[in-house]
Amino acid sequence: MAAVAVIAFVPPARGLWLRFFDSLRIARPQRASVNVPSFTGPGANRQLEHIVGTMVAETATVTLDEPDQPAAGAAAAARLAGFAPRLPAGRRDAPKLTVVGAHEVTMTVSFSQLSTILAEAGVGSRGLPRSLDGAPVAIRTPRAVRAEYGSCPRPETPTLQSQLQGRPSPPPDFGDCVVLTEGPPTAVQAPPALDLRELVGIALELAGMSPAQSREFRGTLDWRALFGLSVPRFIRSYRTVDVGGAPGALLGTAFRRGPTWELVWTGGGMVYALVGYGSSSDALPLARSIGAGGAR
Amino acid sequence: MRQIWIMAGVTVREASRRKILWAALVGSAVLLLVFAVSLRLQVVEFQSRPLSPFLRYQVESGMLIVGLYTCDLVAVVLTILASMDTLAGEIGSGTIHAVATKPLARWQLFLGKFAGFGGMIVVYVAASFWATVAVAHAVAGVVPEHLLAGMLLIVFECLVALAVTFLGGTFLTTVATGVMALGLQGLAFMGGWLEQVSGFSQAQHIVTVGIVTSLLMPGESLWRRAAYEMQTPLAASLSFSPFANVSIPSLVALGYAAAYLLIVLAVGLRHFNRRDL
Repeated sequence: MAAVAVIAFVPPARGLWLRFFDSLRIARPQRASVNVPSFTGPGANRQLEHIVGTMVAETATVTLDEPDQPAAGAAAAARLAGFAPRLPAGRRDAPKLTVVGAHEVTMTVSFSQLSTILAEAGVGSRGLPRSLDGAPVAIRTPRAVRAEYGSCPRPETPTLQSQLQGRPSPPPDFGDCVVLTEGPPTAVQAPPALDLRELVGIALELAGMSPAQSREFRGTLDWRALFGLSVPRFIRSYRTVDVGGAPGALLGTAFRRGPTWELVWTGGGMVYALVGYGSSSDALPLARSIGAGGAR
Repeated sequence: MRQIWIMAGVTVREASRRKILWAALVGSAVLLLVFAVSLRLQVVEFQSRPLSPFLRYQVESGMLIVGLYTCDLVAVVLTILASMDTLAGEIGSGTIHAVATKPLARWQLFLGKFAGFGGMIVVYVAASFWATVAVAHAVAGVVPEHLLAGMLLIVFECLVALAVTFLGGTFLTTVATGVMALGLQGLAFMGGWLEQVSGFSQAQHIVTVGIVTSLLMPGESLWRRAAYEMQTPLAASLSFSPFANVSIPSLVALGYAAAYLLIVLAVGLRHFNRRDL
């Protein structure tokens, strides 16, 4: 009791106790998973850049984390984002526009962790120079514009009551919900010896793709464009498509509460991800109408 | 020193006569069989899906850690059950009078019994640990990271439980000793899991409660450090396993556990030396 009283009421003893208490657990700096823009809704994986970051380094520091901002219209979104968003002419209803904030994470390469993971993945780490250990890596995702059409699900806050009682009513029909996210590709600063293309491939497999799908996906799209994406957790189908002359990948998902398809393509120095809750046959006409409509 | 080893040998022979180690090994063999069958079923299930071998490895590694956790739990419980009678029971029945006679000092008796049980724990943990790892490697091809560190941390956890049981045996009856040691272990178990689960929801106050319980009984935190050492880096970071990196005991926590073990042993020894037998 005397010891507890000393710790509680004598400031130097209390300070020492708190330092000791804090030292009992390994300090874990903030990971790069806060408020990052997600290209898909429920059922989405972590972003590929997060998975790659987890492989490269034990910890990451968030150096830039801008909040998302609603935009009243395309012009306002263009002012905030720094580029004019191209919206689908195939949808006549007004979108809900949000400018997704930029964010940047920095990390230092952990050679031992990276070589272990490469060995586990069957890639091998013999060519990996030991000088990589401690090398800095910075991943910067620029601002993007998200356009939401139709009735889309809102993010759920998991409460104890909601988890015990389940969903209060049958899930509403989100069949007309479509979300387009567009923005410049993620910029990555990394040592040349770090084979990020290979790591993106492993990240895609970790996200649920088969090795063949991962290879094809990387063959279709530039790996740099994939960094900001989060592919669906439950991929049912995969095929490469042509979106107005640009190669793209159409993914069918099998998550009962999430979107049913995701179409990803690049064009004009931008990365596009179109996600829908209805029929995947709507995906390509809608994507092609973005080129037809131009900047609106 | 010689007397301590003689006493340790007597303790091992006594345990062997009472078939404690054999019963433990048979029980572990059954657990191992269940583990092997489950792992095999998982491997077969994965073969029917177009899943990346890399991802399979992460999931199967997670299953191996669960298997090793079972080894750890069984080892700790066996440590307590097997040793709770050794001091308290002999004091209660009067058998201790026949053993604690000159030229054997009481401290030699105490440390000899501790060394005997400690030795059996090392053998049991090594056997069950390596058997689990061998089964996982044979069935699924997975091997944990930092094997030796993981095994030594499990042995360390059992020695802490053994020291607490010995301390209880110098004060309490056999049943009360078992209840106290298992109760403290339960407290540590609950605190460790609260800390782990609450770490996901960033509930700092509950993490604090978990750390406080690890100060009262550091056993479970030693296991969580062992799991941290043995998991694949990705399984830990991407939460493929229930022992993901949420709140990891530091080297200071390991030092605290070592100091705890020595202090508990010293207090038990002191009381055993002074008490009326």
